[in-house]
Amino acid sequence: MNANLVVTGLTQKFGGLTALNDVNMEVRFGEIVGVIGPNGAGKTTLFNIITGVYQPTAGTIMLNEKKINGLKKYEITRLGFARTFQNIRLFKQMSVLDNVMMGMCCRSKASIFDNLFNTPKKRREEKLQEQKALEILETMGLLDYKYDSPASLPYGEQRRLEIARAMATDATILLLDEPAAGMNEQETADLLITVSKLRDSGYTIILIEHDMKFVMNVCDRLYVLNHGELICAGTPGEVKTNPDVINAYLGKEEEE
Amino acid sequence: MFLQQIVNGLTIGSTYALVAIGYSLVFGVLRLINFANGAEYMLGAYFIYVLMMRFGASAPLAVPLAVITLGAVGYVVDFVGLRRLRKKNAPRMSALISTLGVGTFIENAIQIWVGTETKAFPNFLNFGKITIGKTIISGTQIFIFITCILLMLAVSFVVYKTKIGKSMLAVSQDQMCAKLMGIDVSLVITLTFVAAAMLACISGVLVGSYYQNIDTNMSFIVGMKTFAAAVLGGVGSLPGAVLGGLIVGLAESIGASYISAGYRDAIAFAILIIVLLVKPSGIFGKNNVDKM
Amino acid sequence: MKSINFLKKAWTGVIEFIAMHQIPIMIILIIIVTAFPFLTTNKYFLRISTLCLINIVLGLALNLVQGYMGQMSFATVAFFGIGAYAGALSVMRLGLPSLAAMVFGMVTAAGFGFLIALPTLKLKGYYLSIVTMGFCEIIRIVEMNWQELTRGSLGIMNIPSVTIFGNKLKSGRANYIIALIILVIVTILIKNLVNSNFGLSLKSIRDDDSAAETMGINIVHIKRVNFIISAAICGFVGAFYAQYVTFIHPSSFTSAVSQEYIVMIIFGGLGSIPGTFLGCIILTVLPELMRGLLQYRLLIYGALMVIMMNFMPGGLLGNLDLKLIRKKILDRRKKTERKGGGGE
Repeated sequence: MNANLVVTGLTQKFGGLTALNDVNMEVRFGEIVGVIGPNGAGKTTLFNIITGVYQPTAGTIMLNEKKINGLKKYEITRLGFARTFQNIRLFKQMSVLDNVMMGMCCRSKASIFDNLFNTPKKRREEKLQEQKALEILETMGLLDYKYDSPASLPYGEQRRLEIARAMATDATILLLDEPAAGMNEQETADLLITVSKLRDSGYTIILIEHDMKFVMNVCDRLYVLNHGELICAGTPGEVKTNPDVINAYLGKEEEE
Repeated sequence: MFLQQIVNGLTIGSTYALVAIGYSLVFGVLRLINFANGAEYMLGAYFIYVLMMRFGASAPLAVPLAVITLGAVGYVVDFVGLRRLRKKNAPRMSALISTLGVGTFIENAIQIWVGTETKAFPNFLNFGKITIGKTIISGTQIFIFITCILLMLAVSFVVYKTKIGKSMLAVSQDQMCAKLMGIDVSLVITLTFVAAAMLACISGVLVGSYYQNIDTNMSFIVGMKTFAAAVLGGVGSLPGAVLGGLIVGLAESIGASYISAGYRDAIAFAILIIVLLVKPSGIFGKNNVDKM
Repeated sequence: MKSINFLKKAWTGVIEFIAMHQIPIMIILIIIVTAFPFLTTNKYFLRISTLCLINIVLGLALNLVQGYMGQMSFATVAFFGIGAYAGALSVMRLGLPSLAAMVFGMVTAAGFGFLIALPTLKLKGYYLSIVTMGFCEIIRIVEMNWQELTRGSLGIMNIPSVTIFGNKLKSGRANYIIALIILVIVTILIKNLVNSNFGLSLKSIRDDDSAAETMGINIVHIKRVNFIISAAICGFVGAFYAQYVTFIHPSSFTSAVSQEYIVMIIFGGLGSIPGTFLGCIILTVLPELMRGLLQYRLLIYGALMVIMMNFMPGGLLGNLDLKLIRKKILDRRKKTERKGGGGE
C-alpha cells in the first residue's frame, strides 16, 4: 500500500473524556476518504488533530513518512493540508476575492520590504495571485460574487467559498468538514460533481459528512467512528453491511 | 521594617483583590475586560467624599448609599455600553472600546464635578492601633483586611453555592447552552456587572479612608494594578484574583521601600509582563483552546 | 425618506467619483496642502496644521495595529515619546544631525516595540491593550524619575530645531513642509502595506485569527512585524516632533493621550486610511475652534467612543475601500460593454 497520510494509534483525551481512542487511518494519494459517525464520535477532533489545533495525547500522523504532529497549524498548512470549517469561518470584512487571495499569502515570496515599497517583484506576484484566485473562483462557480462580502452569499456558496480558500493555499490534501451541511438537494448534487472534479484534478480529499447519500456516492473509502473508536473501515459497500455500523446508527436513532 | 511592609502590603493587597474579583467575574461571563472597573472604584470613593464632606452625611448612611448607587452604575454601564453590542454579536474589541469610553466618561464627569486636585478623605475607620515590636498595625488596617476577607468569602459562597452563582458558572462555560437550559443570560450578566461595581466601590472607599486622600489618578492606576493582579492569579479565577491581589500589594509595598518609591507604580506592570512571559494563563488559569 | 435616499445616492456618487479619480484628486489635494503655508502668515494656523499632520501620522500608525490587526493599543504615544526623547537626546548629547536623530528615534522605538511584541503578541485579544497601557505608564514613570537622562519633570528644553544641509529651519513654514513630506511617505508606505499580502494576512487575523492560522499564516510573526512597524513610525515622527516644538515633557506622553488617538481613528474609521485623515483632522481642529468646551473634551470623547461603537462601529468612513469600489465599477462597465457588444 502506497499510503500518503498514515495515522497510527491516535488518542486524544480532554481531562477525563476520551475523544479519540487508538484510531488508525490511511489515506492514499488521489482518494476521497469519508469519515462518518454519529454526533460526538470524534470526527472534527480528528480533523483538529491533523491540522494541528490539538496536540494528540498519543499516536502519530505521518505525511510521506514524515511526522507532522507537533508542528504548528500554519506549518501543517504549508505542507499541503487545508481545511474547511463545520461552522463557516470566512473573513467577514474582506471581499470574496480577498478571502481566496488570503489563502495564497502563506506561499508569498515577497518580503516585508517588497510589501512596504511595492516593488515590481511584489506587483508581479500579486498579479499572478489574482489570476489564480479568479481561476479558482471560476472552478467553484463563484466568479460573479468576487467583489461581494462573503456574508451576503447564500449558505451553500459560502461553503464553496471555504473550499475555494482552502484550494488557494496550494494544498494537495483537502479536509472538508461537513461540506454539504445545510445545503438543499440541488446544491448537494452540484457539490458532489465539484468534489469529484477536484479529485480528478489531483486533490486528495478527506471529508466528514452526515448526508449518507452524498458520502456513499462520492467516497472511495470510509472510516466510521463511534464514541472515539474506529469501528469500521472499508468501501461504501462494505461499510453499509457492517453490523457494528448499523448498530451504531440504529442506536443513535433510538436515543433520539 | 520588613514586617511593617508585609502588613501594609496585605492591607492594600486585599483591597486590590476585591477589584480584581470584579474583573474576574465579568471576564468569566463575558470574556471581556471591563475598562470601566477602575472608574467605578474611583466613583465610589468620590461619592462618599461628596456625601460626607459636602453634605455632611455620616459614614453609616453614606457607605450603603454609595454601594447601592454604584450597583446601579454597574447596571447602567452594561445597559448603555454593552447590551446593544451583545445583541449584534459585535467584535470583542468594540465592547472593549465601549467600556473604555464609559470609564473615560465617568472619570471626567467626576473631574468636572469635584475638581482635579487631591481631596482629603474622611477617616471614619479610625480604631487606634496595635504595636508589636517595631511593627505598627492600625485598626484601619485590621478592619480593611477583615472586611475584604469577609467579602471574598461572601462572593465565593454566592458563586459556588447559590443558584444565581451556578447560573454564572454555567454562562461562563457556554453561553449558548446556558440559554437553552433556561438561564436568563442577560440577567446573569447584569448582576455580574452590578456585583463587580459594588465590590469596586467598597474597595475605593476602604482605600480612600486608609490613605485619607483621593485623587483623580486613582482610577487608572488601580484599574491597571488590579488587572495585573487578576492576570497573575489567572483571569476568570476567584482564588486567583485574591492571591494575585495580595501578591501585587506585597510586591509593591516591599519593592517601594527596598528599590525606589518613585517606581512604586511600575512594579505591578513589571509583574504583569513577567507573568505574560512565564505563564500567561496565570497561577490558577486554564489554557483555553478555541473550538473549531 | 425621499431626501435620505437622495442623500445616500449623492454620497455613493461622490464616493464613486473619488474612487475613479484617485490620482488626480490626490495631486490636487497635495498641491493645496503644499501651497497652504505660503497663503497664510498666521503662526497659530501653521502650528495647528503641523500638529494635525503629525497626528495623522500617529493615527495611521495606530490604525495599522487597531484597525487592520484588530487589537487595541495604547502604546502609540509611548513610542512617540520614546522617539521624542531619543531624538532630542541624540541631537543634544551625541550631536547627531536632524535626519539621523529621527532615524535614531525610529530605531529606538522599534526596539521597544520588539520588546513589547515578543511576549504579548503570542497571546490573543485584550492582553495587548493592558500591556501597552502599563507600558505607557512605565515609560512615563521612567521619564519622570531618570533625572540624569531625561531631567525628570522639568522636561527637556531648548532642543535644536531641524537642520537640513546646515540650515536651521526655525520657520513654521519649513517645519510644516517637513511634516507634510513625512506624512506623504508614511501614507504611501502604509497604503502599500495594507494592500499587499501582508495586509491581507493582517485583515484575516483581525476577522478570525484561528482560521487565519489554519490557512497557513504565521500569525504571531505577522502581528509582531506589524506592531514594530507601527512603533517605528511613531518613533520617527516623535523625533521630528521634539525638534519642532523644541520642548518635551513626560506629561505629553501618557496613555490618556494615547486614548485620544484611539478616539480619532474610531471616529474616522477603523481600517481606513481616508478615515484616519478625516478623524484626525476633525478631532485636532475642532477642539481648537471650541475652546469653551475644552473642559468637556474628554467627557465628550468618552461618550463618543460608546456612541460610535454602538451605532457606527466602522466610524465615519469605516470599511470604505476605494480600491474595491474602483474594481467593482470597472467590472460593471466591462459587463455592460460586453452585453452591449452582444446586442449588436
